[in-house]
Amino acid sequence: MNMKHLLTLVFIGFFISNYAQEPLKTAASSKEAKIVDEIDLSDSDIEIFKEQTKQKVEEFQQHIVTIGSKDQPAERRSMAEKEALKLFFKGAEMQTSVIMPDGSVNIQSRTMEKYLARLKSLPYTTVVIKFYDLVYISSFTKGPDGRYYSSATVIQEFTGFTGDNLVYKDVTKKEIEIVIDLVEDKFFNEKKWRVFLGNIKATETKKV
Amino acid sequence: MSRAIFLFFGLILLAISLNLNAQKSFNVSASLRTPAEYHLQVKQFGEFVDRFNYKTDWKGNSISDEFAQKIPRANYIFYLFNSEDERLTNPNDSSYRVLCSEFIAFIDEPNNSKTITLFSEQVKAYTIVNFMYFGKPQKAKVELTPEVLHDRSAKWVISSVETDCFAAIGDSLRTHFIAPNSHETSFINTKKINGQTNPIYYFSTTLATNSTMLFLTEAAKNRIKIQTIENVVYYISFPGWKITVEEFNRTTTNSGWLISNIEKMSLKN
Repeated sequence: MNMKHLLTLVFIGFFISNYAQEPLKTAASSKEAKIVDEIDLSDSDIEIFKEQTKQKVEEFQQHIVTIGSKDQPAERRSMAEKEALKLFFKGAEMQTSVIMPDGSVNIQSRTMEKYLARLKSLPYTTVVIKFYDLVYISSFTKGPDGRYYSSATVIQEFTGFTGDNLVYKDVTKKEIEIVIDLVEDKFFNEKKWRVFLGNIKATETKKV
Repeated sequence: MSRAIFLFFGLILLAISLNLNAQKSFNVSASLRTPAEYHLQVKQFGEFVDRFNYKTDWKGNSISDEFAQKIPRANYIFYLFNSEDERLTNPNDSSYRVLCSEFIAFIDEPNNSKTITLFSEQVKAYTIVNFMYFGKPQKAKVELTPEVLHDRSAKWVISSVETDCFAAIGDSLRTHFIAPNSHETSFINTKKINGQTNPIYYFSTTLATNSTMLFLTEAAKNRIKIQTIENVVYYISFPGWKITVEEFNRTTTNSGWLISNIEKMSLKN
């Protein structure tokens, strides 16, 4: 066997070996699989994603404040409702859990459309919604669809007034599903990572 | 003329300035300073894992040398226990306290410290799923496990469903079957499956009464409508140990995702 044949065999062997290692979308046992947390993401990518997530969550918080504010013009509140919905993946739901006076927990699930519409028509003359400055964002994990998934936690203080009387106040913790998707920007003809919000789990932590 | 140009550029600058201010106001203007208890509470299960693994401090920052000097890992893990567990303060029985100390020593063993890997066989989640089935509210205990794919992506999968809402299947199994003499007629009776709304009756009793299988087939027929999910509990295993992590929804600093139980297992488990 001359050198040429040997090199050809090495090349074929290398090709087959690479082909065999081609990622397959089948489940691997955890023994074979490596830790997936943050894999394929550099520290700078994570920082960018976290910053973008924070901005998107703050945008959502601002819309919530506007939608709930009865002193804002109806047009502006409706606009905020529409803009808020644009932040979400289609079909996103809000699951709320409320502590009942007997100590039991009442869990309800609504589409994001219904949740925001309901927020606009709450039976109070004045509604004040404030958010704490903490936004906790978990690590990013790649899903089988190539998107990255994370969760952000925000805490909201809600106060409802009838006239001058405070009639309802609670503190709610919201866990927001975060999806980072690679979308095509047709204007610049390039693909960009974009942050979307998904399902939200809202837990009432304190009734004041 | 020069005055007009000056005025024009002045207006443009003013417009840019107003626009910048409008963009700035997009930040949550009415945000409040977060009370300390919300920093201390374990808000997400991932946060529990990071704190258990001594990866992040109470504010989510990486553990610094200064933090490590003040709060060693063993002490930090102790903050992850449900401090309102009566077994931790029972003056007549110290067995659970001893067990906890033994567990922490096992986790924080010098040169052999243990961590939790979320996407591994180490973690299992159980939850109660509320659903409607033939117009009636039903409950199922669902086990979910993480699965890692070869491309290093991950997902949670349903590994089992326990519910008693399919108990009536026993009656159907007595009326839908392949007759015992079918072997003499080349199992022509197998054709009974044709057009059946529930062909699972003709499969082994183990399969036909398996609630995971029944949940799957009924869901495929759109007979199941999941309403809400509640009571998520995680079981995390280590060689010889199993811990339970649950969410404690209260306003104290010791709240959120916390260890609610520790069990010592035989090494076979």
